[in-house]
Amino acid sequence: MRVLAIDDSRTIRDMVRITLEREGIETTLAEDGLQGLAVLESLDPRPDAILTDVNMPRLDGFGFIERVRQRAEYAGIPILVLTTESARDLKLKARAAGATGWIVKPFDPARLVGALRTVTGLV
Amino acid sequence: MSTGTRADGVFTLKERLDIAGAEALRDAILGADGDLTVDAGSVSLLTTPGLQVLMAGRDHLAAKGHALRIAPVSSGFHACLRTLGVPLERLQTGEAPA
Repeated sequence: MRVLAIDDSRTIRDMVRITLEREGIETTLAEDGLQGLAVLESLDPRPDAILTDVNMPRLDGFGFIERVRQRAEYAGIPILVLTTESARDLKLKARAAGATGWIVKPFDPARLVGALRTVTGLV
Repeated sequence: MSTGTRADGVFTLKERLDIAGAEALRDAILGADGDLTVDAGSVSLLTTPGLQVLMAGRDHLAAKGHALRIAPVSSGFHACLRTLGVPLERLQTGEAPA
């Protein structure tokens, strides 16, 4: 499985990376939505799933998801929002933007991996 | 890499385990080449980044065959864990200190 993970915190990026790579998941990192878009376009093959934070500089998670969903070639990629926010209206906003699901930080490593396996259908 | 971990494998947290404190703890965990004991005896504030590093760090060290223990634990650290709804046992591979 290949995952693109976007978070403006290096600490969180590192925790996502060690969690996923331990499970054999190839992980590519980006620091914000804009960099995430650039990295996404550079990936070949494309990732099986995307994890994105919400609150980030330059381009936040909602904007990133909307931009990805405007591209037909990325329509089938599940996007999980990984954030400390848990308010219902923000979840609805993420869904409206095109997010597949929502995981609240701090994430349980096993649950994060399980969620990725669920949305991708990959073991 | 200098991680602030003593030769006996003890990393001492400062009073605030916030985003800055989490970075130092991250370096200690990623740089650990054996069991790691985190001294939380002086912690009065634990925020999400710090908790995230402990949660992911425990599993990271366990996968390498190393233990993560948190001892001693301050009353403030315990209080923050209760507020965040995470049991101390979830954060370590050793037995919880008395």
